[in-house]
Amino acid sequence: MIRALHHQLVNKELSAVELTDKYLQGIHTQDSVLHAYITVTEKKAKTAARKVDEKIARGEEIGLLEGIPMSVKDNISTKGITTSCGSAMLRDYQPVYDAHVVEQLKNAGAILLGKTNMDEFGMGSTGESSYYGATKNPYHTDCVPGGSSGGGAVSVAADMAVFGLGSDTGGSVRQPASFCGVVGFKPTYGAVSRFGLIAYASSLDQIGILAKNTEDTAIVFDTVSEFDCRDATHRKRNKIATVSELQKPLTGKKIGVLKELMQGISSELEQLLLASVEVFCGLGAEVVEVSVPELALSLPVYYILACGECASNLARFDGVRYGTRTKNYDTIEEMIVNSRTEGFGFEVKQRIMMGNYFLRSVNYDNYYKKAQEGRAALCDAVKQCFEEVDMLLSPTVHTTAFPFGSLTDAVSRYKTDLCTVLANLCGLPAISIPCGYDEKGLPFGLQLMGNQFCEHTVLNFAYQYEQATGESRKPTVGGDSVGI
Amino acid sequence: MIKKEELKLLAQLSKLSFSQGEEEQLQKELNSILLFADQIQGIKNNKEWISEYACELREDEIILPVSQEELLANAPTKKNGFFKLPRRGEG
Repeated sequence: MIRALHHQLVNKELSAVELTDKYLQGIHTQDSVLHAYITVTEKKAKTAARKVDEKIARGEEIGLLEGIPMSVKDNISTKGITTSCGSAMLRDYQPVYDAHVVEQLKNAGAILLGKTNMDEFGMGSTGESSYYGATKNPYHTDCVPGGSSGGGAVSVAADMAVFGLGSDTGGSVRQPASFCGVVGFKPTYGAVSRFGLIAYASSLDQIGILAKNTEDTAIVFDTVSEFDCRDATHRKRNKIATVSELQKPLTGKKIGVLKELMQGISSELEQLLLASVEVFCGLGAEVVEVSVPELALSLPVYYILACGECASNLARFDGVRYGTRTKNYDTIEEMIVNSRTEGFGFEVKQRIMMGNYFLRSVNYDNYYKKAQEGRAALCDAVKQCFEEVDMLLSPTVHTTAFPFGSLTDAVSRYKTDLCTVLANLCGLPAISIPCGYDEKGLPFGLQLMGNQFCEHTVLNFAYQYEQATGESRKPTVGGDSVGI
Repeated sequence: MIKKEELKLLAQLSKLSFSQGEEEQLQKELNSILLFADQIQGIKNNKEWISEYACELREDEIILPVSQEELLANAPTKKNGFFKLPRRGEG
């Protein structure tokens, strides 16, 4: 899609302002229902688009991303534009700098349409915990879009952005991608700078990409993954341009289907996955079953570490330097406590409390330290897998999107992350690609996970699958097909 | 099991406060999460996870990406280039 739009701009079949206006119109007509956006930056978008048109009019060359409309998740800093993390705590917070990924995309000429809705501070898998209200799934508006990058996934699915940036700590780009029928990609931990990403769990967070197809994902990844010295965990590496690797055939490659993640899935969805396996076989790959018994404990390991890290990361929100300050205080202690109590939603408060439980000195060895031991065991097991296979395959989620209010307790919500947390715990690149629909017409995603810093391999496998199977269906809202 | 007294201690550590109704709901949820987390007690591994990559160090040069004015831009109250707060122990 990006390449096609780029050609239209270069050939003057379409101007950047017209393209931006089309997407803004898509937002105006749909977003009152879908609620994918918290902030729409219409004026800035049109100004930026005009600059691209002026460049074209002067006969200057434009890059692939120039004039292409994008959305950015509301936990990624955008200078002078409210960055709320879906929370009352930051409802008036305007960063004084852009995140590295935003700088890179602005320099490449992409047009920011707005900031997308999300589960508060990235904590959630349904899109239900935003202070600003829930985003709706464009395929069935009584169903969740997934989370925490639900707004971003919906913005792409319903043609309210060509691509979006999200963040993925335990599946928060891939899971909503699966629920909304788009591509969701989480790079290796350390492949993309987290400078400007408001932290949830610092050893697990990674900025990810949502797009209609794999080539668009690769184009955006190659742009945002430039080295940044401001993130000490960002690895300096010889970059491989993933776009140039997409066409490589899969002959002789080996895919391992994760046995433990195929259990518990419905037979309808299992059939979709098995059909996908056949596609990979047809492309020349060998598909085998692999077993990682340590996966049985991946969810409790993940939630102990994530809660512990979030309790520490969210301690900075105290109404002192930024964020909501309560009016209800006499002492500084009351100011801090009441600002936090009023600013955070229940899910966030619950995870902070749980995290502090795990981090207490009396509990640390039995929980946080043990979870780190579990993480080490999982990483060692996965390393062994990659000595035998080039790629791991599983469903992205065990279900398609479910109705709002279905999962009433924390643990049942946590269990939706079963297939996705592995990639975060082991720092692996992982992608969700649409592989079909259930009988209700809800999309279902297939997950591929590669070895560390093998983004080019993951995107290659995904691209080849996509080319063999065709495009995904457009969502409909109220019976009418939406989008451009 | 997290009992009421520990819940209050956790709230103090977390700098949060809860109504009685919220405390009851929270206690129930936290104990259910704890039951879920307790599955890890079966883990027997002498090795803790650490990142296999060391942090990338940059040159030790001063980078001032933002000014003092910008850093104070989101402050709820400020005075003379400082964040302004109530005194400790006083209103």
